[in-house]
Amino acid sequence: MSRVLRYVAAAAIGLFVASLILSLQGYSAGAFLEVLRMATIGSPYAFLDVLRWTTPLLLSGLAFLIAARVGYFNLGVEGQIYVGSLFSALISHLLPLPPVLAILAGIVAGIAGGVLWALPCAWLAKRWGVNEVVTTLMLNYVAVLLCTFFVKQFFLAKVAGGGTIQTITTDKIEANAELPVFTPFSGLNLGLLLALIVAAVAAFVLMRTRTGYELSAVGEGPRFSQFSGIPVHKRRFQAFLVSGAVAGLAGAIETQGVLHSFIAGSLDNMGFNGMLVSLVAMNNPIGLAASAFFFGILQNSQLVISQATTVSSYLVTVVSALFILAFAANPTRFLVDTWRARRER
Amino acid sequence: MPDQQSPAVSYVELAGISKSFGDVRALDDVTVTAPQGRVTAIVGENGAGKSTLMKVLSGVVTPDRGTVRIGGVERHFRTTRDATLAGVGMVYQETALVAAMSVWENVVLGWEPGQRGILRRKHARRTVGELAERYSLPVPLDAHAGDLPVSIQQQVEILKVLYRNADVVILDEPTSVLTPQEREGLFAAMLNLQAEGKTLLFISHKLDEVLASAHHVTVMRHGRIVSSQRNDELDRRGLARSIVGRDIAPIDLGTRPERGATVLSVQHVELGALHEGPGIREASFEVARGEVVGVAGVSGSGQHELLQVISGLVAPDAGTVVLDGRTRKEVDSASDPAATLPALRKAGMSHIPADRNAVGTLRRRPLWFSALVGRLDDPEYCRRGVIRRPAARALAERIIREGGVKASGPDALPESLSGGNLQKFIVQRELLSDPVLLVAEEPTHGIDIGAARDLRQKLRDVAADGGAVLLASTDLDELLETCDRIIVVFDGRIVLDADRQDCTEESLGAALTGLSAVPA
Repeated sequence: MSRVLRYVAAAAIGLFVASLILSLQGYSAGAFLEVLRMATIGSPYAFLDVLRWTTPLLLSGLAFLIAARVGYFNLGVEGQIYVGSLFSALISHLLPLPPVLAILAGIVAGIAGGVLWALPCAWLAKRWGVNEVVTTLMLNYVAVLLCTFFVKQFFLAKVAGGGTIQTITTDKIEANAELPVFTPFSGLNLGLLLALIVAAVAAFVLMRTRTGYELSAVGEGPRFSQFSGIPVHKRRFQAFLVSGAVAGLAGAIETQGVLHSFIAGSLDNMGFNGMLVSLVAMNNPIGLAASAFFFGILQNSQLVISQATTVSSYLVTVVSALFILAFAANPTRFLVDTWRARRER
Repeated sequence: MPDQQSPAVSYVELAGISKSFGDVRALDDVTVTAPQGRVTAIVGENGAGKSTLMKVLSGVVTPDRGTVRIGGVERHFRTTRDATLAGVGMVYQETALVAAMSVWENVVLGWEPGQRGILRRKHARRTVGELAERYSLPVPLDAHAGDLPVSIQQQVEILKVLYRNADVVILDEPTSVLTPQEREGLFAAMLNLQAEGKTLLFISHKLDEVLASAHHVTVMRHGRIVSSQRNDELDRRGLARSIVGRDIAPIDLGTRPERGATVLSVQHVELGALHEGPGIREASFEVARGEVVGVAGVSGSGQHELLQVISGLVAPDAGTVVLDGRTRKEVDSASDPAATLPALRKAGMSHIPADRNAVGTLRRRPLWFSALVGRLDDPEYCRRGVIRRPAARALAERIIREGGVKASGPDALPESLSGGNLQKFIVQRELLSDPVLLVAEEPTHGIDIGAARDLRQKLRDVAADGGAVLLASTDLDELLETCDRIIVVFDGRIVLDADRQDCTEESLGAALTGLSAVPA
């Protein structure tokens, strides 16, 4: 009950401020609600677009969550997605395969890229106790710039007519490696199904199995785990790599499902948004899908608002930041506590 | 200092205090007075209301009814700051100093002397130094608080209270973290406080300490005062009876069996220090079936390391540990403790760790989570990698039932249980597997006398059923009451290994401080 109230209050505060800003600009007070309506059920494809954004958010949220379960703060999801995306694009160019195999190869390559980028951080944390917040955050810059450099230097797309190119991007991947889309009017693709399956399996493993038990124990009570005979460092290491793998998968799905190439800059903030998704879900694997869906709506609103109004799409970023702030501050806690105290008397 | 015999003025008066939490009446019309320059002890079992009463006095809890008078003035505390301003200070059981700050900084923290926002460091340090001298609390002013032993940290906490001009000093179970020697130091400090006219309130479980230090003893049970008497009107047995509400029978040691087969053999074990002190320089001893063997040692003597090695949490640098005829090598191919522990448990070892919060249970997970320790290889509880929750819940329920644990059920969080109840849960969990060797570290720490007696009886029962028990305790009375044999560790070596009949509190005390040679 108090949990529901917490979400509702945070959303209400975000909505109120957004409406206030819009009305100061001369729009009607309900303008932001209208934007939300258009972004979700306004057109036949709006809802599909929300799901298209939900897909990478769900996976990057899951990547953050898995590491968080064992007590790691994986801020490197961003970079791991980048590397996963590039690997997935490159394998298609380097190794042309028949239809289904090409898709699988791309996904495996993406996962490998994510794991590869998580590996040094995981190893440093395990072997020397190096703080993973520092290593993952720093490697993000390396990932973004190195991938961009690599593409520009060796795999830059050939432009028809030999003109100069504006964005740094690889050639389109083989059609065989593309994830099938549901309609040509939306980026929504088979990746959603994949993400849902992965999230469901992860939720089951985390909540019901011995592995999940051990991961929770390691994250919440390292000394309890040691006492119970759980190999603490090994489990944390494994979870870190799985976290990287899920991030890599998110990158591969972006490449194979929507972008159909590696495009520098198009993946920005996907990893950090995943962190927000996981935080709002309070690191609960069941709540993750709902949280990803919510952020998917906001992401899609960002596109709609710039089309429908003259207001900057940053307004939506402000709203989501306000939502997070209000959620973290938990203003209703005071009300709930007072109400409880009164009932006790 | 007032004459011991003359009726002293009541400085603290708590009258008709009642407080309920939900449906639970924690305090029911409680009236207590404490005279100036005296020690008033408040004793009672866990949950009797002692702590709640002291929280009322120190402003943590607001009572539903009743009045608080300090020095004849009625007070209504809304916060601890109100209480501090009225001269009431509390020294908590667990110290809460800032490890990275110096002692004097810790003392002034929160009430720093300043001028326009600038800390007057020299002045502050000098004030704290003078205070320490006046009350004979020899603390190193410039040392980092985190580097100090617990006993000194506690003295810093007392200084902190005095620095805030407390006339009333509440000590909440101050001796539970201290060794016998450190305890004497605390009592000396308490005498100084009395001489300076402070009003002391002393909460304790340990009757001998109460009788040795308090002028007045007030007994609480179920949120009420059951008796309030002068020290010279009391004896240990009567006091124990009024606390528990019934007679406490001495534990049944059973008939001492003939020395059975060796269960645990520790040979020439060596280990570097884990925290401080010498580690283990050399240790060899054996424990046989049917035996309860006590392990005593002043903190930092190496007994902690010894128990860590025996319970498989740490691999020794040299030497062998043999459990029930199986060497560590046989149960464990690698030296990885994570591989050793499950094998040791399978071989029949159980372990009650000293730290029930961080080691014994997982605080924020339901009890059934913590009930599963050492049982994940059992298909009853985990089949094909999937945890069987109904079985785990049933297991937790059984532990709660058989251990007499007060908990709402298998889904209760460990952090919602009182310390004593959590300890009962852990003990029962470890007893459930019929251990061949039970390693028990401070199992009665913070548990009231009735429950502690039952727990010691359970340790004896393990031995009577053919198991062996290794009991580590800083309470010499507990060791003398429960054990067949007592081992004393000093400076990383076993300096005493004697049958109980040959031990006295004096001989143990001498061995603990390294004063005695190996006895005849």
